[in-house]
Amino acid sequence: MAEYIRGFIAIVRYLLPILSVLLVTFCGLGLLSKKGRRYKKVLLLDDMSEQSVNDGELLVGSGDTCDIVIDGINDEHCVISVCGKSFTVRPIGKSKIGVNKHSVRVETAFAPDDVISVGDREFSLRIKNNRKKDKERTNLYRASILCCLTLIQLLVMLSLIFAFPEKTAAIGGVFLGVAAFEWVYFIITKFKGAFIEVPVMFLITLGLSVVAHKGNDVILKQTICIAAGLIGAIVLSYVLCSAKRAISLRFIAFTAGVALFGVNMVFGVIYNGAQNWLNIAGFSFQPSELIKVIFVFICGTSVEKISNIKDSLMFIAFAVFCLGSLAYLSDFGTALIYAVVLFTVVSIRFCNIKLIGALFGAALLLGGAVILFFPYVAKRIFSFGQAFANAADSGYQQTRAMIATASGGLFGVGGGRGTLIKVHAADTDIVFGLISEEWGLIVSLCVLSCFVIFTLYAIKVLTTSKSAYYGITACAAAVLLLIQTALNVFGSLDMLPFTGVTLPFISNGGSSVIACLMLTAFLRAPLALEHSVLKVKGELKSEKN
Amino acid sequence: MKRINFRANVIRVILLLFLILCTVFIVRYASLGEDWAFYETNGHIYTSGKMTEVGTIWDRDGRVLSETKDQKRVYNSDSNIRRATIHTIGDHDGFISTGVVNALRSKLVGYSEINGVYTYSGKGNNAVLTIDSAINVAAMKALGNSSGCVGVCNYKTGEVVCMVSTPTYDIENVKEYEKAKNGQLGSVFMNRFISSTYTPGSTFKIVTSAAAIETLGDEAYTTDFNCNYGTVIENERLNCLGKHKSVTLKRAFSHSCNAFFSNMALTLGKTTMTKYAEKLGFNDTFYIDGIAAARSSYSVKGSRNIDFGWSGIGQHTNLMNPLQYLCMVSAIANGGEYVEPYMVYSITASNGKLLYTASPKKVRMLKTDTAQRLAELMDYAALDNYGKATFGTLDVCGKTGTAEVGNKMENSLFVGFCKDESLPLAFVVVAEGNEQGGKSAMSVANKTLQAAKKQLVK
Repeated sequence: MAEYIRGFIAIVRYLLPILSVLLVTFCGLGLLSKKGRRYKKVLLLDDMSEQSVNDGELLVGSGDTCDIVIDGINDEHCVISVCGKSFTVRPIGKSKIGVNKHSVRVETAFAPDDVISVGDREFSLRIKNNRKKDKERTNLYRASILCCLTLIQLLVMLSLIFAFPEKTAAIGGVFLGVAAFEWVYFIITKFKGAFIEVPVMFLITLGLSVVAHKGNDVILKQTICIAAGLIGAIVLSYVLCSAKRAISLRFIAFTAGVALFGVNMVFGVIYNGAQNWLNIAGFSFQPSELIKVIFVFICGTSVEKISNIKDSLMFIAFAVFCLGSLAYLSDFGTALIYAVVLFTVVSIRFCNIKLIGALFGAALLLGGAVILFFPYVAKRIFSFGQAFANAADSGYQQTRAMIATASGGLFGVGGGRGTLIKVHAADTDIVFGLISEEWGLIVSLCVLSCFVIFTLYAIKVLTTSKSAYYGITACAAAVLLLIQTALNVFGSLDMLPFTGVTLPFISNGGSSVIACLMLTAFLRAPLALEHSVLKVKGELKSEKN
Repeated sequence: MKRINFRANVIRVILLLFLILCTVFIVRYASLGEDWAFYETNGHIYTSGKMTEVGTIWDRDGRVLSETKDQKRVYNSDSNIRRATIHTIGDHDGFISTGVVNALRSKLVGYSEINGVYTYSGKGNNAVLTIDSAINVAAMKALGNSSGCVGVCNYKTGEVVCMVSTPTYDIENVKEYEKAKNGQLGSVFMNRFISSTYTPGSTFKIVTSAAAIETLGDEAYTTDFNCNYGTVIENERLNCLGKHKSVTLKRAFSHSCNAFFSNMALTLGKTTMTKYAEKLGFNDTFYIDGIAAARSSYSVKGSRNIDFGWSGIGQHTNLMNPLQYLCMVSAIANGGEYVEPYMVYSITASNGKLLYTASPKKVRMLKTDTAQRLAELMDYAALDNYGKATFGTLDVCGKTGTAEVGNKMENSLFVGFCKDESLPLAFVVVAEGNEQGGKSAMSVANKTLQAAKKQLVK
């Protein structure tokens, strides 16, 4: 038997990296490749000149930064939203525009060949058949990625069962349950969000492989939290489908966020230097994790349209409140993540160098104050880069993580065979080392690639979607995950200060995994939208009708 | 959209920083991974700080020198073998950094950047060494209480059959090992054959001879010099042990006439001397199985003539390294070309799969003609001065040397080779002087070679 297990591991350690690379590559291609459009949209000006137009929000005016430059009108005159075959036009400020000679003051839908007048010029949009064939990814392509994922899950499950035969029932049950859930879910949703959801479940699978080192109770708890996170993500996706519905809920979210922090500040428990834990009826969780979801939600819903400022103040107020609360709770790792997301969103939203500079300056000042007033933070920051010199104390965990990473090589030593698990926080703060040790560097780089792909996809959404709402939420969620990953991974590898934040989807921890799964809803929302629009045939649809 | 596209640059910058960090990590992994993996807390390789993931190490005769049993590193049952081979095989605590298990740990543990510490069987790899523990024991006993080293290799194949460094210790004698760790036994953790440099003394006359033969041709043999218990250079006296009267190269070499060789160096000049010293391996680092030896040195730049004269007979600031010298005498014995010495014959995985076999390169150091002439000089030295009978039935050629190391103590050196077809061995012996006078390197060499004959000629 031992000989068979040895042979199995020898095969798995090559098979798993290959499958992981395939999975990540296909999902990346599916998410990021430019699809051949079924239609080509062109703008026809009154002087008979043509300009081809892509999906997204297009700024019309005489200024240089406009997408459609027409002489003789305001610098920034109006915004045209193009999404599939639905078009709307919205004046900026008091610009004069008309649709078919009727003057309009609010966002108005229009059809192809309707005449839009801006100032004393006129233009219309026309849809031409595109000769290029539509390269929409087939369901077969999506299903094959899912097969890849299922295979990975089975291999991981078997490796772990061989390593921990006494936990066969728990490990087998969880992995088979997750695999069955995926197939049911994807068949029901017709694989719509597969390119986001498959990489997420890949990360969750690796997370489960870490939890498998723990007792059955921990495995069960984590599984329940994953289920809760998945349900949360599905609910949130539904809410996000309609911007209107989402906006109507933002005050509730705002209140919930403030309340959670309030409760945390009053009843919080100090653990590892930060007072970010809450114990309720035997369950302990971190409110600051769940507030991440609210943070991104509010950021998206309050900056819905470009060139519309008044709602943004709500977001900034909430962000400042969050940062203040986190500082009060001494959770500086999470505060840093919030700060970067805030910085990103503000930069995208306002694009004002002075404002960005002021934010940057404020961040530096705050950072300085933190180092001055919180010695334990300063100690962690200043010990980075010299872990091996402090291998017995401040660099203990990082050196063990690096040793484990090197021990794993490219293909790992086999699931459940890692030695890092004996080190404190091996399943959370330095979990990247454990993943590298057991599954190898290639799989760990695939983990990092997932977050890179999410971010690239968010950029794509931002630059091509009709509404800034989807773009900005997707970006906020992706940047949040990316920064958190960077702090966890490179912190544990002694290349950044060791902040003790979790590795999204992988670290053992209920609140973290619930929050991360819910954040994927922000990435998935535009995907569902893109998918549904492509299906619209013939008749026009627009929000105003 | 243009504007949004521009604003998306903020995220692109964040993403770029992330990718830079990823790249830095990969570079660090590739360059530092081995150090990380071999950090002493790595449970895959060490058990409570001791390297246990190494397989069995055998000598050329199939004797087990060290192996892992029940997560413990154990050594040969014979205390003498343990003492005589510990510097070659290395210790599980990593004190002897040039030992095979430490210097070649990656190959023995099975670590690579590709596979990490994974091996199919989960056990370390085995190695067969070229040394013969019986010859090592003989050499160690011959050195007695003298510090020093013996290195013997087959000059036709490069196999090192004997490598001993003293003082040494018994790693399985708890008290002695404690003393060694506390520094009470002197520098026992250093393999002097690899990591030491010594003043070459008269053995350096081989280098001066090589320079003379190649530069002056036949004239080198006819030039004579009148030695009167030495010579005077720039009003300073340079002593000789005897009054050699009128000498030419051959007799000057066999009787080690300081006056002749210091004047020869002055005749040849600093540039020529430096050129030949470097040809014969001075100012260069030599390697054995990839393990770097200490660097020898020869520098006469800016030195006074009297000092340059001293350097021509192996004094002044000259320093030789035993491994370098072994290459040099091998080249002389082998027609100008030496085969890179090695001590690991092969490495196999625990399932018997062959992972590595030594494939030493040949390196030309001297012209064939020069090598033969130097060999003749060393042959004549043994015949004329040392007496061939000293070595019994073995036809040994060599050159002695003594180097004062202060406090009236002298290091004794003997380098040379066996002419016998059946025993093509080159050797370097250094016996450091101590208060009791120390051993004669020549007798150590003889005892080692006799043991080698017994072991190797069957």
